[in-house]
Formats: sequence, structure tokens, C-alpha cells
Amino acid sequence: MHRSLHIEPSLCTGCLQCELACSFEHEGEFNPARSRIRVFEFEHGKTSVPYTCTQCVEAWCLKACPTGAIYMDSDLGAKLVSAQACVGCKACTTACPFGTIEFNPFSGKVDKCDLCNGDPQCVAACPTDAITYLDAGATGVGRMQAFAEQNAKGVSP
Amino acid sequence: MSWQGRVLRVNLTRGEVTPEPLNMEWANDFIGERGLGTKYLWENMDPKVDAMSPDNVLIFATGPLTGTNASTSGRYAVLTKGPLTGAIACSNSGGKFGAELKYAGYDLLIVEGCSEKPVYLLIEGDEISLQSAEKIWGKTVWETDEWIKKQHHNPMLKIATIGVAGERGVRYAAIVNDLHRAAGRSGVGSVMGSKNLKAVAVRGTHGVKVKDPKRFMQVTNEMKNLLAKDDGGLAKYGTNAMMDTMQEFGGLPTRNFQEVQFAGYDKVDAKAMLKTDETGHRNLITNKACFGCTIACGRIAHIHKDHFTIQNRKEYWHASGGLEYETAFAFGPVIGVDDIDACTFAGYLMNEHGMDPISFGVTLAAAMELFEMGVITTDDTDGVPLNFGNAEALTVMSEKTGKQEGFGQVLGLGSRLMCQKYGHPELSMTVKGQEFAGYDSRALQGMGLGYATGNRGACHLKHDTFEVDMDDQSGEGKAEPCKASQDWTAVVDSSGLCVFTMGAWGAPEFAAQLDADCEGEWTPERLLESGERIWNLERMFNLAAGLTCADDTLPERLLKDPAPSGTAKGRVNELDKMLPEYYSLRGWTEQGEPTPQTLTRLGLG
Amino acid sequence: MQVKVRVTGQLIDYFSGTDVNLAQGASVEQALVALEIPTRNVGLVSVNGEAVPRAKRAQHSLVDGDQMVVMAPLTGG
Repeated sequence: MHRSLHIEPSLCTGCLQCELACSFEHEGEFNPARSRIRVFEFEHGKTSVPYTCTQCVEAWCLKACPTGAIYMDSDLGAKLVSAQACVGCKACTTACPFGTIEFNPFSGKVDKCDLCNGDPQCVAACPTDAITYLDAGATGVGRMQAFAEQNAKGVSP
Repeated sequence: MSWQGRVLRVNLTRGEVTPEPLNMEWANDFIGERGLGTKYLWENMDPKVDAMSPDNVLIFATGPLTGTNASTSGRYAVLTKGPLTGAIACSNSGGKFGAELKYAGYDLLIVEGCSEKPVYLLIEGDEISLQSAEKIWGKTVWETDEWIKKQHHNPMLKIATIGVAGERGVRYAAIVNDLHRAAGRSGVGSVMGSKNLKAVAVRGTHGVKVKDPKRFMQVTNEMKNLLAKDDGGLAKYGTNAMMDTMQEFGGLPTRNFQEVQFAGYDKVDAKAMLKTDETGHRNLITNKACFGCTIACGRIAHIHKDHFTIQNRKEYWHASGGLEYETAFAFGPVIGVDDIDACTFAGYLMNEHGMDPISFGVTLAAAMELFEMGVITTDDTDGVPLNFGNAEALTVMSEKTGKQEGFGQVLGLGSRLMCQKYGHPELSMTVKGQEFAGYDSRALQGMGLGYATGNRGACHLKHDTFEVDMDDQSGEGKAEPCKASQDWTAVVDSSGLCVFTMGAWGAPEFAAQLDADCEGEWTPERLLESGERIWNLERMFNLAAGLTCADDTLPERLLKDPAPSGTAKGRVNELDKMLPEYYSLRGWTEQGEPTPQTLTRLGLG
Repeated sequence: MQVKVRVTGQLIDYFSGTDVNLAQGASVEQALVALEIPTRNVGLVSVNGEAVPRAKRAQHSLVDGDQMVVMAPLTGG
């Protein structure tokens, strides 16, 4: 089953364990500057929102790449970067409207979320389930359910 | 590896920035953060200097676990000589700044001397510079944070800054990082101000490595599971959940510690923050975590739009840091106020202007008692009646003190100097010049001993005798748990992690995490010995600064006036019985000085 | 017999009522069991304003109409 990362900002406390887990998984050290997932805070912390690559089906980054370094893993639905083929031209970073593929000045290549081979570490690390890994065709179910419950309250017994 | 192995020395007099290697011998003996910062202070300054002179040294110190994925790994400490106390100051903070300093590649930042003109320190990756702060001197904490990020087109900067309070020497000015976390106590903000250092802004791109990555991940995950089992209600209620417990127990300092219970407690406690009123407004919006923290005790709140404080002030309609226990006690019971919006607004101002709410509230309480006695009048207080319970007095004076206007300049002295000025020193509820937190020493005896012997003055965070104090309201048997918890808390404060893990983790749990993180072998025994070493070095600093055992005392009110109600009704604090036993347990003389044998045993001789 | 009960802090999540029915002569310890509050989560119990030390919880017998306050532990903040 295709899964995708689902983010529920109302559950995010801004702890940044996801950024720590991501950088550790990919770089072997704790370094949020190299995390492929980032948490943004608004209004003095009233809302905290993690954001990362949404694994577009028709990916701008893939289309922009002149060397074909970006390819799809069809099992995961993830867009991956081949370090061998990547020349660090950064065309993909311009093409992606979401900013979720980023140039790494240390490696000279680009980094993006690769869903950790189907075991996303940000999901494992999140203490509040603000990030989950769900059936890609049913990520809205949780919200639907919450509103359905609201409606049920208004229905007379 | 765990430590970055580097320290950044900033000499503001010469305008020089110099990285140097971390002294690993000191790191091994004193761990990091509080302990290591204390050792660096000891070796880099004369404890006799004036706290607001260029000769005072200011240190920002991280721990070996800061910036790792251990839960609560965002902690750092600010160490210096405190303007409020003339003793060692060690102020702990969370948020994101500490981890960022680590990612910039530094374990410690040491600031010396004094800049001729106002500056801020900018660290962006490996580029470090002192920038002119002329455009931000006089700005609030929040304005400064925004300005610096815009100026350098870098929203990822983490900023620790002072407000006007710190610039103008308010004795309890704080350093605020990430908008609403703070190194709050003892006036560390005014040390920064006296050095003409407005802010430190950091963006780091290095990583933090650990000795044994696989084991470290296993251990930290295990520890997170332990922590998750029972957070004591911190995520849901925050620390203000304690207020009704303190009320029922009868240890809630009220009206400048004249009483120990407050009738209006349920208007400013955690449950009040969760109540939705008829207009649909609820004080608490959500909870919030510091860097790396899986507990998330922080509060995000907002003030009712129609409340007198912000009715015509749109700039305060946004959400920000809400009431935790100390702020609620200091702006509620101790000044007799039961208006949650006023308390929350005053809390905002503390963060915006950079001040310690505990010291401000207890200072205001002393001013209110002076006012009600007729020692000061509205002629002195800019026309504002400082009666207990007057919410407007709280909010108006918070702002005046933050901006150093009018009577705010008197309040900014702290209660010790203010009460001396008006000829009533006995009304200052302090130890070594620092105001008490929200626990009355007549009800919690071990807490009283901890307040009296704490190295930074009255402080509730450097020992933990809560359990024995609740179970037994006498002073019997309190010396040993006080000493043991002081030593242990020094370890936690040196690790880079938060004291709120202490309920779930003891020495074995800390040792397991440090051992997978740091070079060498880290056992519970090694940690406990380090804690005692750290406590004694702090004591040595204070003795060299001129403090004596005469300063290990409590105000007359707590030694002579019995608690009027509660489970400890009729009691006074039994310091005279506890202190000699405490000195003896510590291996100190009857004058409270570490003996040569004790110093040798701890490697401090 | 009926005993009036108040709880403080996060203990409200265990018990949010106002009183509890107990057998005659039930001890404080037995009352905590009836309220389903684990003893390790209790800082202090007071009965009619008097503190009942932990060691005495099993011996202290309650009587009808007693006012019991079950306090959460203190943690520092």
C-alpha cells in the first residue's frame, strides 16, 4: 500500500525531535540544519507546523533535473536523488514550489525527504503523532472523522 | 563528540573574537553547562569584582547532551556574578538557543570586558562578528529578535537578547531567548547590559556527534518511553497545576508572605487557564515544547481582547508565553491579585522587556506592604495606589519597571535595596538579595533550608525536598535529602537536560545517556561525586566574593511569625536546627566553609 | 459512610467527584483505592485540615462526614 507522511499541526509542540531523527538517519549526527523536515513556528509558538517534501506524483524537481538524477521508487512513491548523477546545479531547488529540496554545500548535492526506505524516522521520533505515515489515499480520514463527530453531536437521539 | 571541544572567547573591550580548545580535564571533572561554566568562571575572574563592572565575566554554557536527541536536550546556562545578589549566578534556560550554540560548534561562549558602543554578537556558521547595535539599543526583546533576523535575511537565527531593563541595570533583568524562554534570575540581563552587549544571534550548521551512535539511540528511546509513562500532568496543565496543591497544603505565599493561603487562587490556577468563559474565550491555547523536549510543559496563551490591559493595544492581541507556576504565584497570591488576564499580560511584559517575574512580583509585594503601612504614598508611586489585590498596580508597574520609568526605577532595585531605602529591610522576602519562589518555608521546611543555603540565593530549582516536605511538616531529617538533592540537581543542570526529567530519571538513567554520548566511562557514582564537587566550587566562589555563613539565613518573618493556616499552621522554619546538621553533612566547618579534607577529597584543594 | 473529597492538580484526571461512599471505618489507604488514585501519584492526604503522613494512611480511619483532600505531588516550576 502506498503510504505518505501526514502532518497534523494541531498536535505539534515544536519539540524538533523529527529534525533530530532525520539528520541522524541521513548524516549520522544531530544537525537540524541538515534535516529534510523542518518545523515552522507562527505567532510566538501558537502554531508549530512541520513541513517536508510531499512526493509529488508529477514532480517539478524530477522534470527540471538535466541529468536524470531524480527518480522515483515506485514501491514507496518516493522521489529519490542519485548522488552519482547529481551535479549540484540546483535547478530542482528553483523548480520546486515548496522549497523542500535543498542544496547541501558540504556534499555538493541536493537533499530531500526519501521516506527512509519505508520507515520514516521522523514518524518514529514524534512524541505526539503530529507526523504519521498513512495510507496515501486516506490521509484526510482523521479530520473527516473529527467533523463527523461534531455533526453527530447535533443529531437528536 | 558530545562536547564540540571548542569555546568561543569574546573580548568586548578589544572587539576580539577567539575560538580556543575546550579544557577537557575540566569537562571531565565538571561535565558541562552549570558545572563547567562555574569552573571557567572560577578560573577567569576575581569573585570580588563588581557585578556590573567590565571585570565580571559572562558565560553561556551548554552541556554534552545539549543538541542530541535525548529528551529535553535544549538546555543551557548563563553564569556570571549576579547583580542582584553579589553571589554566583547560574541561570538555566530552554528554548532553542542553547542547541544552536552547540551546532555553531561551541560548548561555551565566554564574554569579557565591555564594549565602548552597543554591539550584538553574530554567529552565522563559521562567520563570527560583533555588529553595531545602535539601531536596536532601546528596543524590546521582541523587536530585537525580529530586527536581527530581518537585517541578516536569516529567519533561522536563534537570538538571546536583553530589553531596556537589562540595558538600564534592573537588578533582576533577564536574558530572553526565542521570545519567551529566559535565563531569568539574579540579574544576568544587566551584566549583559553593563557590557553594552544587546544580543547574541546564532545560526549553526555543524552537527553534534556521539561516542556510540547505535547505543545512544537505543538508550535515549528507552528513556523517552520511561518519561512518557507519567509526566505528572505537565503537558496538559503545565506547572501551574501546583497552585491548588500549594493552596490546600497551606504553603502558597500570599501578600508578601504574610499568609500561606490565598482565597483567589482558583482564579489564576491551571484550571482557570482551561476555563472557557461566556464569550468563548479561554486563556490557554495550547502547550509547547523546548528544543528536544517530549514533555512539552510550556504554555501558549492569550489575553481577553476586552480586558483593560489590551483593549486599545492591538500589539498585544497575539498569543505568547502563558502562566507557569512561578509567574502565576508572583503575579497572583503574593500580591493578592486574582485577575488572570492581568497576570498573563504582566507575564508578556516580563518576556518583552526581559525581567524575572519572581523577583518583580515579590518586590512589588514588598512595595505594597510599604504602601499599606503608609511608608510610601501615591506621591512616591506616580499616583498608582499599591494596594494588595490591585491588578492595575501590577500591570502599570510591570511596564514602568520594564521601561525604567517613574517608580519602576525604584522597583527595579529589587526588594532588598528598595526596603533598605525606605527603612524596612525586614519586608524584603529574599535570601542573599534574591526573592523567594512560590513555596513558603514555614510549610515546606527542607525547601527553607534549600533557600537559605542555595548558592545563588533563594532558589527553588537547585534542590528537591518536596516529597519529604509534604509528608512531614517539621524540620526533622531534612538536612540529608536537601544536601543529596542539591548535589544531584547540579549534575542534571550540567548535563544539558531539564530538571523536569528528574521524576522519571535518576542517576542510572543519566549515566546511561552520558556514557553512550561522551568519551570515557560515566557511572552513577562518578556523576554524584561531580555534583558535590560542583556545589562546593560554587560555595568557594561565594566565599571568595565575601559571603559568609551569616548569609545562609531566612527573613525574620519566616523564622518568627508562625504560618497562620494550612497543614503547617503554627509553624516557623526550623533553620536553627537544620543548618548545623547540614554543614556537618557537607563536610564544612561550623562557619559553613568547606574543610581542607573535603576540598582535597573533591579535587578542589 | 460518606466522605467529602477534593483533589488537587492533575489528580482531577483520576477523580472529579465531590464525595465517596466507603465502608464504616475505612482507612485513608482504602479510600484512595476506592477513588482509583494510585498511591505513588499522591503527594499528601489531609483529613479535616490535618496532614496524614504516608506511613499512617493504612491506620487512619475515616468517619462519616470527614473532609478529605488528596493532593498531587509537588514538582517545582
